[in-house]
Amino acid sequence: MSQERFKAEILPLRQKLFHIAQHILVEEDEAEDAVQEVLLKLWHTRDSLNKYDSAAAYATTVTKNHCLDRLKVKSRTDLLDDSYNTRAGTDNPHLQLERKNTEDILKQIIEKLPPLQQAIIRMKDMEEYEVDEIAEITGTTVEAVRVNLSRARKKVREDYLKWTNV
Amino acid sequence: MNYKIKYKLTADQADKLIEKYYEGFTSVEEERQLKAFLAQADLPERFKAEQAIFGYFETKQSKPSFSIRPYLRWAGVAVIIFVIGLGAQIFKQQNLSDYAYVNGVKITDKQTVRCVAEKTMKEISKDTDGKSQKLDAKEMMRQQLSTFSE
Repeated sequence: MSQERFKAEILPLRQKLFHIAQHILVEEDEAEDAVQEVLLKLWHTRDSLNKYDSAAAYATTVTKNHCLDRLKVKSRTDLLDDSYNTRAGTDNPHLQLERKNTEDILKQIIEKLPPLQQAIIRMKDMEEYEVDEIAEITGTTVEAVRVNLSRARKKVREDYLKWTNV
Repeated sequence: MNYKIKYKLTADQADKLIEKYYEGFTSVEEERQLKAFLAQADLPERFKAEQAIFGYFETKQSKPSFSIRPYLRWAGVAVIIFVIGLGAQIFKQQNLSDYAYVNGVKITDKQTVRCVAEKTMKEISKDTDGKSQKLDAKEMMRQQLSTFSE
């Protein structure tokens, strides 16, 4: 599916996908993040979207599954909360040893970012999309993308310094 | 676009761009400059974190590009190969067109070749007996030399 077709066929579904997401996740912020993630996911697989009879039906399914996964992950992390985080903290010598390699450290830091921030930092810093392109794909404002990008980048730096200056 | 941008950043410019980078305000182009700056060895200690982060991103880059730039590079390569090929062809043709071996030495100058050829023809005509043969030799000479006056 071309860039133009993606914009013409998938982006107009945004509102509908948002309603589905909100129905499952309840909270508006989370639904918004989920929709952006789904759109980015669809964007990255746009070449194979032609395979489906109805791209709209496919997008709906992807959104549902994505939100259900999010819900699952959320309930799991809520249970683990503090005890998990302290174990995975910087003061664990085994982990320090395992993660001393710069690439591993950064990979893990990025994987720990919220999914949307992860997706945005990947697109901007690795795939070299401009902020306004990302905003267009996710159907959000440039400002929203920029804020998420800024948060993600600051967090990566902060965590990286934490890891290396233990 | 500003042409100054093409040159390497100073540390001060890099500091400013890095600040902009963390606010999410840098363009892809500016980030490329930063990347080039951070790829240098012996940078001040304060750039260590950014060096690691940009270095990491560099290894992960794989944009499915619609840009014509990579193709442009190959087009450039193709043009260079074509020009070299064409040059070689012309060179070869030129070398093939007019030359003669005189005492084992290759001569490509038209005038020289003509002189030598005339001399040889005269020598041949001297060696032969009889007027008719002399005429034939002269005729032959004219025919042969007409190639050079074309």
